[in-house]
Amino acid sequence: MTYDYLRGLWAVHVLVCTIGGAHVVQGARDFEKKVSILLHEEPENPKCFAEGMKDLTCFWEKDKKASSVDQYSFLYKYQNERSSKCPLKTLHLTSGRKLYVCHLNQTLMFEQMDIQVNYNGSTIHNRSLLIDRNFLLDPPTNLTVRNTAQPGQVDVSWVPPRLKYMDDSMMYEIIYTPMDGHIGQVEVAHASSELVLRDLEPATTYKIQVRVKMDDVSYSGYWSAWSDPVFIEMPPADLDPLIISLSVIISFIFLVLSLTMLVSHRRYLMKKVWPIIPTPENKFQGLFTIYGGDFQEWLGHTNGDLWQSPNLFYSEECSSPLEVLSELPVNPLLQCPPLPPKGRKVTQNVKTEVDTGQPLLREDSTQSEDWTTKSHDRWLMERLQALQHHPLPYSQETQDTYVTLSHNNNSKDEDDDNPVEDLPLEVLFTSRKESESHSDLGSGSGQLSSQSSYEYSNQDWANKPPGYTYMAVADSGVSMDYSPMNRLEDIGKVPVFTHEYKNDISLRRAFLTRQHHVHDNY
Amino acid sequence: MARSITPALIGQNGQELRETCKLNTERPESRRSRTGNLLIVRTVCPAADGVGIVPARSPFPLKPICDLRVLNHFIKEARDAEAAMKVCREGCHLSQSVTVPQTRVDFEVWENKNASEQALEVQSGLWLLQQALNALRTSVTNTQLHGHIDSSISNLQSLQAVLRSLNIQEYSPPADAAGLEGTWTVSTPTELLQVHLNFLRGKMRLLLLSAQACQQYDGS
Repeated sequence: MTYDYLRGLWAVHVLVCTIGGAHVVQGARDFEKKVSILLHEEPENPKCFAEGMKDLTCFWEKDKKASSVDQYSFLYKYQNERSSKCPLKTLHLTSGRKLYVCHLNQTLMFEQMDIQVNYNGSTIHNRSLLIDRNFLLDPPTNLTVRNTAQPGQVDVSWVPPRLKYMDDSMMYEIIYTPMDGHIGQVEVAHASSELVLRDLEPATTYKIQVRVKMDDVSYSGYWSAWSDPVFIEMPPADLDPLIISLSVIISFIFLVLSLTMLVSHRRYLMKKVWPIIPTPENKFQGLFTIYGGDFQEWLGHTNGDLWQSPNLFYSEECSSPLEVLSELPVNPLLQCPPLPPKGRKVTQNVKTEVDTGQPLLREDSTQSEDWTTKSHDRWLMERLQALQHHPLPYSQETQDTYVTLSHNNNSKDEDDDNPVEDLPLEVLFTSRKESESHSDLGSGSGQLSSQSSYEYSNQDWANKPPGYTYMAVADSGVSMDYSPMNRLEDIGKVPVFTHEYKNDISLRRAFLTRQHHVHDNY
Repeated sequence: MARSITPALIGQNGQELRETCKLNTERPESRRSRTGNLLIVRTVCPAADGVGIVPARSPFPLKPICDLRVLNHFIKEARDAEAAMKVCREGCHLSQSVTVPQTRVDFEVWENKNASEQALEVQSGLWLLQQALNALRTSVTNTQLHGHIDSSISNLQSLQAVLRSLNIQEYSPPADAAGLEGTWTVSTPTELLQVHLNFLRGKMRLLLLSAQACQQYDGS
């Protein structure tokens, strides 16, 4: 039992020593903090501070020269009293500094104290102070931070140093620093141990500390060290119903304005997005509206006036209308009559054919029956197909498919190449040689001989005997041949426009085939 | 011819504390100042022929003045007066040494005294300071310091009214103040104003803090 008692006593002793040791260590740390504060704040020596109602601590740094504490003396004196001596101690700081310290446990406040430090009888430090004006308190403890119901607000409370008669003479500084690196803010509180911090950023962690000082009315002193920090994380911001409603209203207003602008400027926007494809509708009066794009029918009603207008199609040259009248008798059995010959060596050919006109006439008469039965359109189409298979070389001198009158090159080879085409022309020239006129066919190549060109006006046509079908063509020259729309094979294959053009096909056919029925004119 | 001047002394709840001051002169001076919720109109009643002014007792019951902001204001003005006197070079001297109270406070000793002893100590010191400031007012010829001295004297009178509101008995001064215990003498205006300041910060404040009337008032 005695052994157990002693063992318990020993445990308690160890515990007390441990706690006491920890307290002593903590006290030593706090003291070093205060020393460092005074070394920074107080210029005079000795540096003195009061921690409570009765104590006073004064110290100064040991000089570099070797000395002993016994060589120093610390004397203090109140008014109208004799001097007293304070025992000195040597203190070694963790920073390596050495101090001489005087600590008094019984002091008088509100009266001047005269202090004198001597070294070997000589005064090295002399100072007068009031103890109640040199307080250096311990920092507040139990710092507590709580979120309040209000967003961005926290309630901070702490426990001030326990000093009787001095509670209402203390003031506090609270510093709250966001952890995102921004500068902290400071709030001051007087004679109060709690404070509400406002306007804290949501979703941000803050470090909060507090320190204390006398308010300089009845008591004065230095700012204490900062208390141990407390961290608090602010909750994320709630969506304010007012902000949500305002956002919805603004979005709705913006949408309405956008729709209004779109509706008011829809034509402009349509033009930009889908540009209007130019149509030649204004040039062909009634072609699309009345005749539905049927060019043949339209031609029939307009008498091909537009064809004779050079400005409609050609910007480079003026074409002269040329009428080629086929004098072949109307014969349903007539097969595709040959094309009028080309204009090469026309003059010579004319002369030669005059002599052989009889056989030619006989050949033409056999075909006349076919000519009457089959439509002129088919004939034209077939001739065109033949022409497509044997395209003419690109040349301004190239004649129209139908008209080969005005070519100047007279060569036998060429005649041999196109014997059939020459036939109708020969017949023509045979009967019409007395009425010659000049026309400039094809493009303005200059080589087109006016000698070999014949032009027949409408009046001439009027004098023709009835029953003959004739074909009036305008020498389109280059444009007729080289337009891809003229090729029958290209119809439907060649994409001319990127946008849909509803009259495209009908117009192409109208270009390719046209015919003025004699019956319409006579 | 005596005139009755009635300064307005407003209590914490806005009620007016009346105090009359009998004068022997025809020209009293008054100054208005504001301290938190307490509005005090001070009236200086300069003495004539060395006769002190004793404010008459108010017929109305006084509510205790426990707000220390009044005292804080007086302390600040006393500090200003001391600072002004420190820089004075001419026309600021005491014609004779004056008796002043001890201002030192040993908290253990203070706490061991009862309320009556504490009150007597403060009342006697207050009276001594009034005498000394009156002598200073006469000695100082620097007109710039007159205002500070006058406000200090007025403040002491207001403090007497405050003590009266706390049911602290009045002090009956002795015939000879020099032999009083706990006193000492000063010979310079600076020392006098230092004593004045320290007295207000120390003993006066401690007395008001521990006044029974204020503790009963807070608890009610």
